[in-house]
Amino acid sequence: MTAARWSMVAYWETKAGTDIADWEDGAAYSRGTGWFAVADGASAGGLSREWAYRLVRDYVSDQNASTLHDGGLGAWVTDVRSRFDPRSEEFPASRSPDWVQEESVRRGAHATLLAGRFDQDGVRVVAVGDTCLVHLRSGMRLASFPLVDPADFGTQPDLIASRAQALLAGVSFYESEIDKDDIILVATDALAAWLLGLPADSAFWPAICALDHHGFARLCTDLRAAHLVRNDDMTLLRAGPLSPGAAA
Amino acid sequence: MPYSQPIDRGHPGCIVLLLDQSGSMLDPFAGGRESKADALAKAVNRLLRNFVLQCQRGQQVRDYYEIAAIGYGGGAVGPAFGGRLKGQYLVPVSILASYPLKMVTDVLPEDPQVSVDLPVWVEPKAAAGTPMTAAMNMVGSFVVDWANAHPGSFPPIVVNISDGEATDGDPRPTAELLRNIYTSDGNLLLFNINLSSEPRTPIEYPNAPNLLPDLYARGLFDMSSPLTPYMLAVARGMGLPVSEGARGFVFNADAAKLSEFLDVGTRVSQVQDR
Repeated sequence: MTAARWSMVAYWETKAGTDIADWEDGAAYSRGTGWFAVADGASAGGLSREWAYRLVRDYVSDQNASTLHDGGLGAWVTDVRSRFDPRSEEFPASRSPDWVQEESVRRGAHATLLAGRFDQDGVRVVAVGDTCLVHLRSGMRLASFPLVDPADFGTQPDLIASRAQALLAGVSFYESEIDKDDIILVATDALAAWLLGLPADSAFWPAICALDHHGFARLCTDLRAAHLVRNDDMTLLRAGPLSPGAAA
Repeated sequence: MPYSQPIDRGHPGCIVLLLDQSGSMLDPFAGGRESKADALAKAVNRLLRNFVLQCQRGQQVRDYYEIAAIGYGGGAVGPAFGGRLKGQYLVPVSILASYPLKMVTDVLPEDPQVSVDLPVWVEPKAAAGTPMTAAMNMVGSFVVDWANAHPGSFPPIVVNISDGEATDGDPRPTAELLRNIYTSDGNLLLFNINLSSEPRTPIEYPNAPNLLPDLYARGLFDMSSPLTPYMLAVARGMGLPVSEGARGFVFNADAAKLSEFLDVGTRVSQVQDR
């Protein structure tokens, strides 16, 4: 087991009125290696939860640096597709009728992905779709990626398909040096749209950086109650350099 | 804002399909061989299949909707599902998924290159008159209970598919009673589509009755609810000619217009597509 070098934590809340079995996002990270990934499975398709899980889990365990450069992600996705079997034992056995299962497998699943790694040079990230990163420095937003404005969110983001033979569309990269107090937030679209609407110097940023699981749940509840976000799964991964002597 | 309640297990949707099964449904659409009854059954089975697939989450089909199909014709009105669902009114989607009447091998509507086993719940039927008013009365009798049991849900949608005038009296007063059923999210939505065997130009989603050719068409217009803002957006996205205030009503429709209509008219709200 590698010693933690990075502070990383992920929180999630399912859509209001649903439970954890309905959560169709995925998040994975390794505090030791610095690899992380967040995915948002498309509900239109029965296997999006499994596909989102597969993408983030394999991304972090594969540690494939070529994914962070032109052309690399497509090759990696092809490999992951070949390993993706929604009927494998790692997923719960289906209770759907056979014809529904067969059609789900035939149609495949789709998900966004924002994934990357920290290393001594900084952070490098690849993204497909509208799962977004916010880079904070000195308690202020330094950058966001791949979207920059809440108006950029649509209903048809680029997605990674589990079966499509089509080329990956909308692959983009982000790279930055990381200062010792920098924080990277990665959020799925509903939460990301709200984050991108905050002023760069919003007083919310330090509060978001201090959230624990209960605080995150309260934040999601409050945002929904105030109709500031649409009712969707919300996932937040928070990461940054580990301060000397601090817990991960 | 009305008509904005998303669908979830706590707030399921209710869809009722009213199917004309009168004798004239045996006639083919203009320029085709397929009878209107065959085309209707096919369109309804395709719609139901899409609902089931839309409701699959993970390893199960969630009951996000309850769906009824009521046939009227042959001197009778009643549930149109066959097999183990025979006689059932509103059926949760997971039950619908489990009990199709039969499976038939056919090409996929969305991909004619692929042949798969497709479920059939409703078979074509056509005989005698058009007891549309009685059918609407029957719908009211069970939909009002559904609305009372689901006061926070998106209101019920009733889609009436017919090729002719009611033979059991003026359906407009009954239609008005139906449209007065409500949940906290809005009044019941009643949409009407008139199928035609003649090669006439369809009149799609009018927002005023002045272009309609006769009293019958105007009567259907009067019975039809306006499309919701989301349905308007969906229709525009499909390139359909809709403007503000457009009613859920198509006159002189062919088979293709029927499929479009079912697609637009059963979009409940902003779908949580991710």
